[in-house]
Amino acid sequence: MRRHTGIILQFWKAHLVQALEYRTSFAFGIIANGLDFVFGLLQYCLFFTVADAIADWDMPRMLAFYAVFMTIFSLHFILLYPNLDAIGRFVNTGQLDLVLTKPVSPQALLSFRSLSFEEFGSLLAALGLLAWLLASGRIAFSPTRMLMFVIAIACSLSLIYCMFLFFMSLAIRIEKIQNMSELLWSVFSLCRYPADIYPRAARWVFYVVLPIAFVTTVPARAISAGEAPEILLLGCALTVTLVAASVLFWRRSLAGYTSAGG
Amino acid sequence: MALAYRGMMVIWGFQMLLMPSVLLLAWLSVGKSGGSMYADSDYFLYYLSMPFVMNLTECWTVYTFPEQVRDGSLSRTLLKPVHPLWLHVLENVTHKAIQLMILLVPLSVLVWVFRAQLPPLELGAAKIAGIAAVLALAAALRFIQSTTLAMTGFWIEHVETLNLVLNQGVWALLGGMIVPVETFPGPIRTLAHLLPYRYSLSFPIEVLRGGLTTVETLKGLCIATGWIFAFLLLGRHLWRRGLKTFTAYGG
Repeated sequence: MRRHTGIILQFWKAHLVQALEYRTSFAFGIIANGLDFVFGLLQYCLFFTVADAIADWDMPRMLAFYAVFMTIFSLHFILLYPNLDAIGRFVNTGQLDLVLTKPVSPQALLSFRSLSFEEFGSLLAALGLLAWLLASGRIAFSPTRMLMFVIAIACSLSLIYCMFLFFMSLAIRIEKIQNMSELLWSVFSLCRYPADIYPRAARWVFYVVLPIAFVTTVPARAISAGEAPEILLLGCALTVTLVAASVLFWRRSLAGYTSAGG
Repeated sequence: MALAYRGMMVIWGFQMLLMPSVLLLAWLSVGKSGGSMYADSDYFLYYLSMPFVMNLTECWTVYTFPEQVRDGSLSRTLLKPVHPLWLHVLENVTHKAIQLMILLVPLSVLVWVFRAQLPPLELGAAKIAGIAAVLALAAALRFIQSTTLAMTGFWIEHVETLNLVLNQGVWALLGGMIVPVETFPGPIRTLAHLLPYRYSLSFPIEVLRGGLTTVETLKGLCIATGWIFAFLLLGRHLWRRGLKTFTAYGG
């Protein structure tokens, strides 16, 4: 574990050095990303000129929802997106073979090899928005809600990682499909609004079968109004199951990998 | 060549249906504060038409053109006896035609399923001709606008980032993706009417819905045409200036 952390940190350091080589582009990316966050925020402001509430989520709660969404979305962008983007190339050029011969866990190495720095602006802005909502009392602070939020966020991030690992495995199995990252994006499109907007049957699917409700809706509800304990328990159970399933699927995909041109 | 990426096209078609559907559901679940002039049926019409319009107005020269500048393959197309940008136009048209065929299947199913929810539409020959004209204008405007932005690729590295803000961000906001332009509060609506974004997304659907007067439609057409010429002039200027600085990396 420690060895792996060390190796990944070395990779990240190299990426930072590389990113800082092009300082203007680095700064430009962060500014553009900050603007992107602002546009997202303005969208909700415009939405609420016409609407009172989206499926019982009023403006402060919706802002909390946006902050949670952006936190998770930007973390995915920083940590996972560049790696999912690269896997197709790794498979098609045979670089994957080189990674597999190294005496480290290929899952750790391929999952966290590169890092994207541009989304740090969004991450900070999202956390700032959440802190402001709490500090100004627009969202009432309570220790139980905070605890629920921490549990829910842990589940959410693990679930995103599961989906990521699933798409990574798929990219190894089906070399022809590129841009797996596009598919993960679609998942995020479904998470952009509270799961309560969906019809009853779809909602059930999103809680139990394809658990995207646990990605943004549950953490946002936990911090803004409190979440039912049984939902949190369901989330934890699903997370454990899916983590195990996705790791298994990944291992089986790697075992079936026959190398480039083989 | 476009047919070689069928899988990607299916994914794109799926994504194009996904976001408008999510937004439609969001609007149906909204507690309206009486400020909206749209009824639920109008939102159905708006968001079921959107994938169709998006399919016709999509443009990806901001990704492909700067890439050609970076890897130097632009030099090769410069030698051909046609203007290099025409190749982008043709690629764009064929790609959209094929993608439309893929998109029309699920879209027709959706329209059929929700036919009871859609508002009654009067579709005379004149109106269909009008919609076709507005759609053609929308596609041309978005293509020219994006390609003009793509020309900055002669000078800067990250056109995609610029595109994300100038094109995608503002477009989603003021083009009517998230909130239909007709339901904007007064001053913001006026701003949206003056900027080019509305004309490549919301405007064709507004014409289809039939809520615009003839004067409003003509005014919209004039503004859209004006923007097309403005971007054409700017794009031409950037193209000529850019070509002088272009050295085909390593050349």
